[in-house]
Amino acid sequence: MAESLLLLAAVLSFVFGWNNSSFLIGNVRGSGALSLRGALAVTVIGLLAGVLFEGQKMLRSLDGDLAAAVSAQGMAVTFVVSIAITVAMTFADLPASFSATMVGAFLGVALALGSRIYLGQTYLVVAFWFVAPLLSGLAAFLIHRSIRHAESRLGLVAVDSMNRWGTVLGSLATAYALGANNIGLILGSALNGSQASDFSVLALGLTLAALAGTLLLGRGGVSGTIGDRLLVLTPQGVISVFVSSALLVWLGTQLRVPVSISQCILGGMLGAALSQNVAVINRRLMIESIGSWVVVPALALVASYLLMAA
Amino acid sequence: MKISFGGRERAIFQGVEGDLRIVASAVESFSNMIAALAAERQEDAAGYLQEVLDKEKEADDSHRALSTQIAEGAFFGGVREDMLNLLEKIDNIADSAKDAARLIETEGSLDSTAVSLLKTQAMKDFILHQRDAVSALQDLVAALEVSKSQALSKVHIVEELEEAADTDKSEVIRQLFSNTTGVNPITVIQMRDFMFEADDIADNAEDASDVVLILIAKGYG
Repeated sequence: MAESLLLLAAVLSFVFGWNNSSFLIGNVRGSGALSLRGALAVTVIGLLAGVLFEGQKMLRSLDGDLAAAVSAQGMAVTFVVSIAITVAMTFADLPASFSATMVGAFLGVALALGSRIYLGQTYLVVAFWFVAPLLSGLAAFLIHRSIRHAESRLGLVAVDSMNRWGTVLGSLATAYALGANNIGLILGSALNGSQASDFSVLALGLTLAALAGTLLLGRGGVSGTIGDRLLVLTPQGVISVFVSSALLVWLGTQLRVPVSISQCILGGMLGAALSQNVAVINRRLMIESIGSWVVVPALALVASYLLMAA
Repeated sequence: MKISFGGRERAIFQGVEGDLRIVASAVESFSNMIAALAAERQEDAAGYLQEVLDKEKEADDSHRALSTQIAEGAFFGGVREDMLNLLEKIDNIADSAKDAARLIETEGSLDSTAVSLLKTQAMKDFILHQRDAVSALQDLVAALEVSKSQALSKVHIVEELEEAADTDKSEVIRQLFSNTTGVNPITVIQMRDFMFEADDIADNAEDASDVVLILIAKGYG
C-alpha cells in the first residue's frame, strides 16, 4: 500500500505542477526574464530547497494535525479525490485550491471513518484560508509601494534590471514556498505517519513529477489564468504579488497549515492593483475563483466521504 | 545611480541615445541648409542637403539594428513595445528633416519670394524651435537614465517647443499668403508644403516625448 500511496503522490505532484505552472514558470517566462531552461532551473531549485529545508513541517498536516491517523486506504481516497478535482479544475482553466481540496478530501475520509477531528487546528486552517488573501493583499500593497518608492530614484535601465531580478527572485521564493508547503503536504500524506529514511530521494522524485507536469502540460490554459485574465499588472506589481504570496505560504508552513497559493495571489493582486489604482478587474473570474475556495473543499469532503462509505 | 547588471539593456539604451544624436545632427544639418538657402549660398546648401540624406540613412540603419536587438531578447519588462515605438518616433524626425530638405531643394537659385520668406524672423524662430525640440528630446531621454523625477521635469519642454514652432509656422504661412500678387504659385505651394513637412520635425519629437511619458508611467509601475 505504501508504494501505491507514493505512486498517487507522484501523480498528484504531476497535476500540481500542471495546475501551478503559471506560478512556477509562467511569470518568469511570460515576462521574458529567463529562458525556459532558466525558468525550469529556478523552479527545481526552489521546490527542492523548500521541501528539503522545510517540508518536514508539513508531514503531519493532515493525519496527525487535523484528525487522528487514518488508514492507508483512507489516504488513498484522499489522493484520488484530490487528483480528480484538481484535474477537473485544470481542464476548466481555473487554478484549483489544491491544498484546500486535499484538506476537504481528508476530512471527508476522517468523518467517514469516525476518526477524531482536531477542531482547533481545523479552525486554524480554515481561518487561515480566509485571512491569508487579506494579509497577502496588504503585504503586496506595502511591497508595491516600497518598490515604486525605491525605483523612482533610479534610472529606467536600473529599474528594468531590478524588475528582471525581482521577477526571478519572486519566482524562486514562490517555488520554495510551494515546495515546503504543498510538496511537503503531498509527501507527508503519502508517508501517512511513517518515517522515511530516504526522505531526500522521495522529495526529489515528487519535485521532478511536479516539474514534468509544469513542462509537459502547463504551457497554456490555466498557466495564464490569474496573470492574464484577472487584471493587468506592471512588473513591479507582479513581483509584489509573488513575494507577498510566497511570504504567506511560508507563514502557513510555519503553522503547519496547508495553503493554496492561488488564494494568496488573488489577494495579492488586488492589493497591488489598489496600490497602482487599477480599475479594470475581471470580476467574473474573481468571483469564480473565490467561489471555488468554498465549493471545492466542500465537494472534496462530500466525494471522499461517499467513497469511503461506499 | 548605476546598477552593474542589465548590460544588454543599458547598451540598447545608450544605442537609443546614439540614434537620437544622429537624428539631432541631421536636424542640425537641415537647419544649416535653410540658413545657407536664406543667404543664397547654393553650394553650401547642396552640401548640407547631402549631410541630411547621409545622416537620415545612418539613423535608419541604427534604428533597424536597435529594433532587432530589442525584439531578439532585451528584457525591458512591460515596456518593450514602447521602446520600439520610441525608436520609430525618433526615426520619423529624421525622415521629416529629409523630406522637408528635399521639398526646398532646387537645381538653381530659389525664387526671391522664397528667399525673402526664409530670411524672416518668424522663419528663423521656426527652424530654431524645430532644432530645440529635438535637443529637448535628447535631454529628456538622457534624464530617463537618472530618475523618474528628472525625466518628469523635462517631459513638457518638448511639447512647449512644439507649440512655439506651431505659432511660428502660422506666422510664416500668414506672411506667405499675405501678398501673393505676382508670386509664382508653384513657389507658394512649395513653401507651404515645406512648412508643413518641416513642422513634422517638432511634431515627431513631441510624439516621441509622449512615448517617453508612457515609458515613465509603465516602467516605474
